[in-house]
Amino acid sequence: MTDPDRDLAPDPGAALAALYEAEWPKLLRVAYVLTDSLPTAEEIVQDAFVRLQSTRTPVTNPGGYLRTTVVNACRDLHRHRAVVRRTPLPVAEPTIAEHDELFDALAALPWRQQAALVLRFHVDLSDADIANALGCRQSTVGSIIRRALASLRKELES
Amino acid sequence: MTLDLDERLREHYQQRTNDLPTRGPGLDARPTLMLARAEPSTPSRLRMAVIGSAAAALILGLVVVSSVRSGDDAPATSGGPAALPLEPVLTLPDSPDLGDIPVTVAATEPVDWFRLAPDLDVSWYQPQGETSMLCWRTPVGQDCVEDRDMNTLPLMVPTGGGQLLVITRENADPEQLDLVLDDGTVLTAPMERNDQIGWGLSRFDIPVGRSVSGFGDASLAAANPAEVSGATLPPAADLNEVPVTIAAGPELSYWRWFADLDISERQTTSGDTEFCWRTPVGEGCIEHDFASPKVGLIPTDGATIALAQPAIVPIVPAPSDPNAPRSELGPTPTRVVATLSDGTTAMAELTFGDQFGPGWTRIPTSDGVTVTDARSE
Repeated sequence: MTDPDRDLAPDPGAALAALYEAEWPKLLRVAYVLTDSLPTAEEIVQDAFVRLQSTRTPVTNPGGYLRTTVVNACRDLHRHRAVVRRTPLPVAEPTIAEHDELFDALAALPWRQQAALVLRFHVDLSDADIANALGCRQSTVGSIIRRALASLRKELES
Repeated sequence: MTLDLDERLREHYQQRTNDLPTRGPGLDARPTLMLARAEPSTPSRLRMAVIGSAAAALILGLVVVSSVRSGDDAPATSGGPAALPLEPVLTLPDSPDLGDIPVTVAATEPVDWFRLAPDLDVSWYQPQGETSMLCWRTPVGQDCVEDRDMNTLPLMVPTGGGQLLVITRENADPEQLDLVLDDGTVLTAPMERNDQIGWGLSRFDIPVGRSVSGFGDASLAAANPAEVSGATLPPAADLNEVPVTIAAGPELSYWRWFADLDISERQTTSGDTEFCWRTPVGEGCIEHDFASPKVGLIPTDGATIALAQPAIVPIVPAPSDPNAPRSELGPTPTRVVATLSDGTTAMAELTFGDQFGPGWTRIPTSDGVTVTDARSE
């Protein structure tokens, strides 16, 4: 099994394959929860691996690089949707069938809080890894999650 | 309560992802991973996003603010992290075409407006079969631009009192926004985020005659804190937080590796990649091939930065298994030996950091002396 936080050397091909096998499911879950679309999530994860591979130079901490790439892509998509959602789509993308109150409460959170919760409670990342993925300071992660939980609690109790 | 919610979240995420596949496509079909390089002519959406943002910054950033100023020559009032928010000088009146919900209307002109600030309304409309349009109006003017996904923002809008409103998508650090002016000055303003549409709004007072050359987070520090003895690069607000490879084209997307070196890896039209750089002494692109004993040389103030990395060498003897790897990374180079234009030779130890692949070193050069040749070993 490849340690995603190590360099891909010395056998880049085999290491990348192992990394792909180990990280793909986890990245897909993060992307899926943040985009609510399996085809989109698959595309984002695949693009992340293509980007990793196309850098040509060895990437230190490829696992972190992939996570950051996936989270950034989901964020870009989220911003894109903020504009697109005002225009009716001709064909809706597949979404989960039932939305419970927690789903709705999560969807109402600012995007960064949503991402932080997924990375903490679904992928079990550390504050440092979440900070890397979100592009913020490590000390900010705790406050993002606290604010998110407080908002959720308030929403669920109301 | 916290524990309950934590567990509920874990269960919620687990339920939502229960049916997702556990293996990526392709691994069942072949014994080794085959990832294709993206075609340069059809860059992925992600790369397009990078390029689109850069293009938007370039195009919209060239707004010359002086043309809309009222004529006073006040200095910029914002600057630094402690900058206080500016207040609108003029405001828009109440209007019957204002709505509480931002919607895109099928129309040929802006119909429903959404008030984003006391002096800024925005509106979206879409003529049948045409591109959606994003419009703005302030006390000093009104205009519409094509609402092309990511590329529309940031939008820089003049408003009363010579102020400039900058509308952005959610930023990595949404508390403030930095603008870099054409003279290198950095202005900082708080960013107010509209939760309904997720956009940020910052208000700036731009000095007369200055234009905006970049925006973003100018406080982004160099990834490698190594001390730089010469001049450093000015603040830039168009930097990526991680190094990315962008598609072939005129745009670059830099990552600040050192205080005096920004780099941008870009695909070429042939599908290869080139390594572009900018330092206090200039900018350029070099072939992205630093495999030992080759060395990439980048001039900076008072030194030449040399880059090197291990070469990929064939495995000898070649494995009989046709699926087995045929090559491997060679030994890691430890130093660079350089010949200078004054005839002297210099040696410098390579350092391999944890932010980026190639190793680096600095070869000090005095005025007029350049590195004419170098190899790693």
